[in-house]
Amino acid sequence: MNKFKFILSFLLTILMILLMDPRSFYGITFHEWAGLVIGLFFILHKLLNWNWIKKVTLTFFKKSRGRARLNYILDILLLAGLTLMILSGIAIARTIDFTWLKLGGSHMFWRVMHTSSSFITLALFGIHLGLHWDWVIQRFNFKTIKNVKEN
Amino acid sequence: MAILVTGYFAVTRLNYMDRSLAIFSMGKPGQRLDGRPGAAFKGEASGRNFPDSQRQQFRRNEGERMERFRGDEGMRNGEGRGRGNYQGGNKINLRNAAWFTVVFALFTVIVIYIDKAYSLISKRYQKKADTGKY
Repeated sequence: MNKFKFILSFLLTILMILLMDPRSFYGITFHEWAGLVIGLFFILHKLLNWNWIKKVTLTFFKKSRGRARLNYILDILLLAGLTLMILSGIAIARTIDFTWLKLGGSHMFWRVMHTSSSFITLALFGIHLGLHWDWVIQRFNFKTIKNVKEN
Repeated sequence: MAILVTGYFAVTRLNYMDRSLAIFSMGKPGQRLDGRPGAAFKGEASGRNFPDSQRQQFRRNEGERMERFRGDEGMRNGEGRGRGNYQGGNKINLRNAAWFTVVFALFTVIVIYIDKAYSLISKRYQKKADTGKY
């Protein structure tokens, strides 16, 4: 399960970086479809960590550790950032027709919202990775630890 | 250290901070709507003072331009004025992606070191508290 989580997180990171510039990877069509896919990846990522979310939600004001609280707040900010990113992306989409959603607002407003929310979310992703760095290192050392234990 | 230096360079190059905070300064005077800081109108950009009538003309032009931009029905599916796809849209050009990777790495590295420093300090405090007890 950890290996799957790691691969999913890795894909999320790569996809997020590729999405930061619509010109960098197969143009706007890829940007818009991959933007929707990243939302699904994020939901899957949260579902895989559902037990942790449930545990911290129930104990947030009682006995949660400071670090768990920090991670929880960061996750909420990430969720808000990603939601704004996808919503503004939908509002300014060019290759996928989302006009039926009738989101309103000016094109410029959504464009600035899209840029700002994606820049802030990338920074939050970086902070999130930094706070989970030990977990990442553990994934890389997984086999080594296992081999040492077996020997 | 290399990540910190390159990261700082990338943040400056991408105008990262200003573009991140653009949404909070929207509608404030002196801010352009495209998220980059600057003067709102041409006259203000060059530091010249225009009379109010001319300023209103600029605003009207800006409004019309925005309306034209909003009326982008013909731009769906890459049609219309040929702006459906970005120039070079079907190519791979990872130069900007590399700069964003550096910014991402910068935030990660800063947090890793802050976290390590915090752990070290709290361990020392814990140790001091423990030795004080016995």
